Amino acid sequence: MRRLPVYLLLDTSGSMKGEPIEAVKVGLGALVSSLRQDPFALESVHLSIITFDRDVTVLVPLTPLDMFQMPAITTPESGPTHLGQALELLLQRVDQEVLRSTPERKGDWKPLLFIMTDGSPSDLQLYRQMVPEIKKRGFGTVVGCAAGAKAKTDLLLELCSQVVVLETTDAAGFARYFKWVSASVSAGNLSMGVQSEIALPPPPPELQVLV
Amino acid sequence: MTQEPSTNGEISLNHAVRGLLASTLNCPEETIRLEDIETFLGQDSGAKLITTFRESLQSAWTNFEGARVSDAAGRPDSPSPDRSEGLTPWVPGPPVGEVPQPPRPGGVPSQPTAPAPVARKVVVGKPLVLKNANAGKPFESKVLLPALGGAFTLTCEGAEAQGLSWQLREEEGKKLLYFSGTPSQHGEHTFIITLVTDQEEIQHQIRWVVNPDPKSLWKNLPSDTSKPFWKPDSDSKSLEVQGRRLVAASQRGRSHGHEGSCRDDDFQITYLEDVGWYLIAVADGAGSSKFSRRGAQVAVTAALKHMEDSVRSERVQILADALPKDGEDIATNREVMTGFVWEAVGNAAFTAYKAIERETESVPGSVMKDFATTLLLGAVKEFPGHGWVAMTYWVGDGGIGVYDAQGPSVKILGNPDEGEFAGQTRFLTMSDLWTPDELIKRLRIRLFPSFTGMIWMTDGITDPIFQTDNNLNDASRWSGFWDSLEQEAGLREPEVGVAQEKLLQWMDFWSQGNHDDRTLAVLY
Repeated sequence: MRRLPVYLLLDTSGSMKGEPIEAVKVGLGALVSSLRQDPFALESVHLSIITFDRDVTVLVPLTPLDMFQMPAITTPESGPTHLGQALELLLQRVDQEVLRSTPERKGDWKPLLFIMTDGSPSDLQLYRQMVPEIKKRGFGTVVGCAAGAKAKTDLLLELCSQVVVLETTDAAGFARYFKWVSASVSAGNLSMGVQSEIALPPPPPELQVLV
Repeated sequence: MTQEPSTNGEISLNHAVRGLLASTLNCPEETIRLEDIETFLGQDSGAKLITTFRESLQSAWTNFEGARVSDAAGRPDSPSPDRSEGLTPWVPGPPVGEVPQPPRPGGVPSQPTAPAPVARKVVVGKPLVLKNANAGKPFESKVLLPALGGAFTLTCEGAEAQGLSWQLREEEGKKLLYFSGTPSQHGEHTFIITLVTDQEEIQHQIRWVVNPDPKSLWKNLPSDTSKPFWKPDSDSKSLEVQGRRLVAASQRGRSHGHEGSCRDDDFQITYLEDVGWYLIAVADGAGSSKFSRRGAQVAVTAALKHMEDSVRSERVQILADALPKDGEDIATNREVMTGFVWEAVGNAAFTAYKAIERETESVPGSVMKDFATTLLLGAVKEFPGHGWVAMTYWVGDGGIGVYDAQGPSVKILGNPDEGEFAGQTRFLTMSDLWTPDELIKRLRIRLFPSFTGMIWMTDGITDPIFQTDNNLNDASRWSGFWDSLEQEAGLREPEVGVAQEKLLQWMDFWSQGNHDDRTLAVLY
């Protein structure tokens, strides 16, 4: 059975502590609930959550949506944002978890990647090394969310085919973002092949879109 | 006093402790220092003091809260409330009697004479985790309870309402709460597990997720007839010639039904009586292309028309002379054979490609990609004394197979175009297909002395039935497939019209994760 792997990379650095990370948790909960109501997603989506701050953690390995349980998400007091390392870990996970087609086995749909960060990568060199590697992996789409005033969009644009900007890291902002993620995942339903990337649904007007 | 009983209790306890210490240390309450207490406790009499201290504390607490705490050192309990299973949580009542005065220094308050109602401390324990369930499916799982020192009773609220029964079991010294049942309501449900000990009520919350049954979520919205290039959500056709049948059906898939969009698959079939050729064209429009339903339609129509014209041409008419005589290898006539399939079928595919090109001219702003489609073609004729000649062309996914129940054996006439990932395939509209080398790769011409069934199908059929390329080439799989076609899809119906209807109905079968449009044409 064809699975749609969806990877969420979440910034859990110190600056996300408090209201922002709480808003992310609520948004995530809404994303998962919403996907559970979509028959295609319920049958096919497999979700993985990787967090990055000073450390990079696979909070949830690729798990079928119907078995998915929300993990506890914590942020340290302060510290760097190791997005480069997160991408490195992501590559390992993708190579391990995502199935490609063979004569014996039907492969997965192209995996989707959603990155949320409120700053810029502390490990910039590693980040830049990882960008071409990510592009080689054949993601159906790589979307970045630049959350809050300090988020650097140009760096995200090096990697992502589309970047959305959240003016504020509050509940309403993250709710809109995760709702759009949900719609994008549901759009992965359409068979691809003509374009190398899936066509994302239009983001809501409140989400400013770059590119 | 206007304060809450608990605050009263705190103030009075303070008084009791200080009073006791003051009398024991023989100094005024106000002058008690921590060092005095520590010095005193270091002495033998300190230990005794601790015991007396606790007893006094307990009495003071009892007086003010009506609570009774059993002494682990062994003071006998007063008669306790019924502790049978299924105890509902005890709700504290109002304080007993009048509020007594704080104990005077030097005195140990007397024990209350009547036993007081039980008011245990209510503690919120950590949330417990239970596996997700699926609505309508039997569920069985367990939760490990946090270890508790002594005896306890357990209640569970909320589970029965969701169709679950629960049972407390002990395994290898661990306490496990087993749940089983079949939930019917999807959603997020909350259970409260309460563990009641002598001293405390510990409440644990379980958030339990029941996924909806995907089958119940799929909507079936009719497609919007006002859309450009609209076509009916299903189609079927059949013909019968001296007992041999060609039947085809095409059904919009659940994913399009859920969105209310059109069927992208298409087909055309015909039999030319004058020349004895069966012609088949099947196509699957690319899901992400906005006019692919039109692309598929144009492709099958144009291709079939070309095949009609070319099998009637003199060139193809003399095919019979080129067929191998008994014992002769078909390879001796390879050039001639190639010429025929090239002309009859290869050029038909090219014609379809050009027809789509013309279509882009009539829709301003459109490009070939907007009409992307797969295409599977067949031209089949019986040559008495030789067998059946099948000429085919194939681009995209899906499959063309010739099955013989004797054996059983199957010949797949080409290779499905597949990428690394699901959904990746090639389309008729891709310009790099139209070189002689590329075209030859997709053409087949073959002679079959006999056969049971020849099938052209889109991936809406091959994915659920075969899943992989290896399985598609597996004769035993085809044997099972053929059996189900005969038994469930009505191929052996006495009336061919009924067979046609049954084939279409069969196409609505449920297969998890496989909700694409389905098209199948079978010659048998």
